[in-house]
Amino acid sequence: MAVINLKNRQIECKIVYYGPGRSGKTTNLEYVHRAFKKQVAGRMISINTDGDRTLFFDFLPLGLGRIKGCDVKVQLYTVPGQVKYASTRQLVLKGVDGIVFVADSLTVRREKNMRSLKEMHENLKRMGLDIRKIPLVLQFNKRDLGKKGLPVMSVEKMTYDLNRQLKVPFFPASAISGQGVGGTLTQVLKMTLQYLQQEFKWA
Amino acid sequence: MGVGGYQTAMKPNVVLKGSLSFLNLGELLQFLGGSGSTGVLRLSSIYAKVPGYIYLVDGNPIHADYGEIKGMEAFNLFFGWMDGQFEFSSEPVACDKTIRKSRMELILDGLRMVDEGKIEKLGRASASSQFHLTSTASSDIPVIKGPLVDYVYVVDEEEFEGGKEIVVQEKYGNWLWVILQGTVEVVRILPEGYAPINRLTDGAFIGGVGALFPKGNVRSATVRAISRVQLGVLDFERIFREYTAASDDFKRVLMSLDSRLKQVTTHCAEAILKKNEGKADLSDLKLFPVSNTPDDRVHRIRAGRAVIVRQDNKHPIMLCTLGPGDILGDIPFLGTAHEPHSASVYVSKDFETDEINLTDIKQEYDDGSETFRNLILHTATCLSVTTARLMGVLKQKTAE
Repeated sequence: MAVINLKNRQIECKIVYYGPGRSGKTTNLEYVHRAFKKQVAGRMISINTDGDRTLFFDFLPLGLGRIKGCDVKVQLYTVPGQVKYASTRQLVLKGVDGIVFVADSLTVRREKNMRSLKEMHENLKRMGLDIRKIPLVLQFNKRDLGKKGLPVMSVEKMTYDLNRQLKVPFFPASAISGQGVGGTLTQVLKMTLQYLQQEFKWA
Repeated sequence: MGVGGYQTAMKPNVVLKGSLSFLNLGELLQFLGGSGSTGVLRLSSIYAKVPGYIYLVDGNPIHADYGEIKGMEAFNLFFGWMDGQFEFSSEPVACDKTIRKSRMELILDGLRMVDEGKIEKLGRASASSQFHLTSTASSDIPVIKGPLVDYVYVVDEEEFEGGKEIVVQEKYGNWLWVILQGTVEVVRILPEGYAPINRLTDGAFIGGVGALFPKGNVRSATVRAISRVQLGVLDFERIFREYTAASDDFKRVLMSLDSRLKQVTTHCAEAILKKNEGKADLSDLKLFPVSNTPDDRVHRIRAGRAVIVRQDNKHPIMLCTLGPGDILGDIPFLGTAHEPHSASVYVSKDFETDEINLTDIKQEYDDGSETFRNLILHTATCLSVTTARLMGVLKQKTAE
């Protein structure tokens, strides 16, 4: 649920990078923070959580226009993957407007991906949100590891596992080199703003 | 204004108040941050000895204090306050800056520490979550602790050895005690056996507001000492005088609260001892939208009946049935775990209500003595904890 900040005439919306621990959510956001410097407002906040870091920063999506005369400010978050961080995850997910689900391409992480997606579904349901309606983009991260000889799943297999029913846009990516990161972000921003425009009949 | 002197300062300009169980500290700070507010956030909880204060300038926390604890240490502690009230007063703040991190960093870090167990959770949520975790008989039972005892109201002291019965179900008596030291167990007896409902320890009352009502002197449960307990006998006459001086609507709020507690306790005992699933029968009833009621109003039932239910995974679970004279709605100072946030209301076809204004009731409550208010709050806490226990027992049964 986007917030309209009347003081700054800004519409603030929230995009969350969700996914199992160590799937590359943080790497995605670190890359965005580095590569899109001009659009980043304020510094990146990093909280050290076990096995993961929770990141947060404000992002101003240039070129996507204004809505009803208001600038759009996007808050980008990662959630800590570990089960015990329930309060943090709840706060971060509360009022989410768009989600990037970062899946790990490594074959050994197959079950973790599926379990995390299921948990995200349940968390959204608890907040009265429908996974089929909320803007959602999948990212199959760590494609580069295949070239290094590590066993990775094919994009087809990952699509079958994770996107068979959802049928949302997906991007193969290698967040460490930045490949696919921009495309994922642009897609989720576009979908989120369209969704908000429809939702509030702003268009 | 100096930081230490805030508690004694004149009544502040309160612009926002509410319950932390509805809007937690993280959400509240985001909200105040988003509007760039400057002022003082006062947090209070019956589980905390003194109120806590967070000082904000342009939406950013710059200082906090909780009794002797100041700065970051105090600030982080507040994230553990699961139940309690907040009040924000808009005013200029002039105090030393002891907190320098950004707002979002503070919030995420505070919640991280709660999740990692580095900050103690304070409130009935902690009591109910504890008994969800374990399954052995005695550790299942939630423990209710009370605030500091006001000795002005204690007229005598009594001691009971472990195992002794202090109050016996169905017997007559309207003595009220406050526990000075030790733990007692509240047990509801049914034909099927004994059902332990909850445990009470330091500061909690034995006996609730029900003891004040006409015909309220029949004990609805047995209370026995778990260990050696020291009790303070409360000045019943003095509390009773306060009760009789209260308005009719205020008395109805209390009676309704007591009626809910007795019914939920019975359902809880039945769930413990019998095999029933506690499912509510909602045929011929329709949903009554309590959440549409303005904040300063509640309903007094004129005709018909209302059934309060809470949804579990499968069914609506029956909590209690209310009838003419009973009160429906959200009474902020009671903070019960029923409607509108944690339960739904279904009503019969002939259901009719009058709206009553909460302002006067709130004022009466505020004007009451500390012991009178604590007795009311204790009854409300017992209601919340017993409701959570009922749901926990049923959940465990389903799992089995």
